[in-house]
Amino acid sequence: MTAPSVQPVVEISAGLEALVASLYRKSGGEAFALSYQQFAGILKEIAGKYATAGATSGELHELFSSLRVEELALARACAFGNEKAWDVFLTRFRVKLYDMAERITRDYAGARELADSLYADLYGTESRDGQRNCKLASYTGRGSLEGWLRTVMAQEYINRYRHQKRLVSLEEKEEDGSQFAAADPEPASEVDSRVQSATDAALTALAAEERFLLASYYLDGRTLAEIARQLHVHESTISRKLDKLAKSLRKDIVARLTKQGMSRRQAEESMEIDVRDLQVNIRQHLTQKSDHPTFSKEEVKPQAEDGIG
Amino acid sequence: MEQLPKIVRERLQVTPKPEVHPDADLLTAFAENSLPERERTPVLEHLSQCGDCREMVALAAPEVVLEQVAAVAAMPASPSRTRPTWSSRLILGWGTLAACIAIGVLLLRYQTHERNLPQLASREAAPANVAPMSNEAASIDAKKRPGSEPSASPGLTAKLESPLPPQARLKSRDKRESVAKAVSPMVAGRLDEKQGGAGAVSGEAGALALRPAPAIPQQEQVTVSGGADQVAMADKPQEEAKATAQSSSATQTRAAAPPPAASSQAENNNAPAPPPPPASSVQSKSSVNSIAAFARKKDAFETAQAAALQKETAARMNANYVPTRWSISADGSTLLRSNDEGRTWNPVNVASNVVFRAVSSFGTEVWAGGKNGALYHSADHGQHWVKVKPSANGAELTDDIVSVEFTDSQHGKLTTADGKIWITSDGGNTWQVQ
Repeated sequence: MTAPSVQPVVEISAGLEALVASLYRKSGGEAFALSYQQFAGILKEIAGKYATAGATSGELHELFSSLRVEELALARACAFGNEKAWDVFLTRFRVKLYDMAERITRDYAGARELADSLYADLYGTESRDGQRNCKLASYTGRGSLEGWLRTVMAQEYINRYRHQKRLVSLEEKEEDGSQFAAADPEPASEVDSRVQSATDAALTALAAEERFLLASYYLDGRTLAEIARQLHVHESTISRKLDKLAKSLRKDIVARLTKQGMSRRQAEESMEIDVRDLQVNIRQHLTQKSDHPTFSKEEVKPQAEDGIG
Repeated sequence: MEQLPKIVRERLQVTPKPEVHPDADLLTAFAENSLPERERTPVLEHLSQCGDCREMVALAAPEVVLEQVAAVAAMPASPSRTRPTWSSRLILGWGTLAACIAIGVLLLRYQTHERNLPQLASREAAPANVAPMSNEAASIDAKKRPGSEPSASPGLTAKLESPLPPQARLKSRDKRESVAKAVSPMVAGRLDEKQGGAGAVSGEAGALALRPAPAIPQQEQVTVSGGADQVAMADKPQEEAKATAQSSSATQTRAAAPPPAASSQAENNNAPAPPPPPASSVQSKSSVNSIAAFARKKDAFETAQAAALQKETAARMNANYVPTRWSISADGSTLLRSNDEGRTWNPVNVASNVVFRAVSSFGTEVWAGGKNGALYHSADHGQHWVKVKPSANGAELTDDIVSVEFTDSQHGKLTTADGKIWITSDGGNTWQVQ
């Protein structure tokens, strides 16, 4: 991923001209009044965005060959305002956009609003410096146009949801009991820093895909099937990987902790300590033995009147 | 599954979120598994840290749509349902059974007819007293009660037709299924009892329709009692009978150019209209009754079918009618059809190794064009397709078709990738290039 503000200048060598010409024919851009020069300019822009500085001809060849040039030509022709391109686009995607929106929002009214809003962005109802700001101009053909539309729509939906969340009314907050919320509890004592650092080191040592698996399953609550579809593997593969990951992580953290001087039993117990449990324990301790100082090193003799309560 | 240590869960949550996010193109390419490994790894790395981007990838996943399409593709096409229900499975089962029995009986009848052909003699038809048939009577469904069973009583008559040629007997299973709903099982059972149990004892109209009719006198009249609603057929000459038979199945053919509603009904009826029965000779008395019964059932079935079709056509002509929509799959290999305003889509098999780029529909007519001059036409909502090879001035169209526009069944325009426009004004038979 390159930062949006830095784009290396890419020149298409003579060796790639033939490929570009072939891709132009394949794209059918001519039917949408997209000239060869415009098409070549689009490819240069894409290369500048995704190719590393000093990319070889072979790498550029691979990049260009992987592009969905037909959909790229269609999208860019729409961005240029070609009516024929819009006709084709609407034929293919008009209904699908509403379906996508309905699947994302799971609400008919919200889906219509989301789809209509995206349509406006795709068409470019806003203009900047006299130029129509059409979202389709940012499509680069790395993935399918339909998939891109889905991603853009999901992005729009998440942004809207976040924006609406910030605009929660005071009445809603009162209903949530926010004004009656208890003050923040005292910060609990931290988990042993050795455990934290061992855990961080173990997580860092994992591959990106493994961390993605853990985050998707344990943090996001995705099902095995959903994760399997995202990674294009079978569900059982995900199940096996997660099981293996959990075991290997545990083993790795215990190994790191024992190297730092902890006993094995201590290490295993420390991994199961939840910070929230520590907070609860403190509260319970304060409630049960309120007349005794907490975290005192003095021994407290049990008394007959001691008890819960 | 092994439980993840709590400390690991906690540390996963506190992972700092990255500032720069991959664009929609990269996330799409990742979701479609089309990123090279050197680009996929950084995206995965980002996704492992960024919950928002993971949410986006999950929301944008196309799997639900594909599963719906795949699930629909695995079932028999049904315009009004997305999943097979127990009733449709039941009908399908009975239809299959009825079809097997009917085919066996038809073969037997055909052999009998072949043997008895020299002995047949013609008879004069008696005029029929008939009453007009109501739509309700015509849509004889399972709710019809006993009493509507046919008998030999006067008052209602049906024109018998000569035995059908072999090609008219074989009808599609789908047609039998759809008609099964229009004919009372009780009617079928009672009819069968009167025939001494010959043929299929089934509640399905398909069995009735396909019950073999021995060769009968051309104009012999039999009566059919319709209970409270009189089912009747006017006495018609053979040409009218032919017209009736043809009109009841006219919506199944392209030439009739029926309204979309009628054709969607006809989606399940793809059998050709039976040609008029040839002149027949005298039949033995023992077979006359069975012939008469078959004719009664056949006429009742065809009448019911025609009336049901009329009823549905009228219903679909109102404002609530939902037209069929067409689209193309993302890779262009499949056409997609929706009968419920795009809520669900069914893939339509047209041809293999074709990449479609444009589709246009007008009523029941559908035109789809694609790469290398591929052009396909359907006149029945996509049930059947014909490959069209436009040619003008001795040259065939071989360029990619990027746009198809048909304003009616005759006038259309194709736009190719090289900017040429091909025009037809006779439904695709001849073309001109602009």
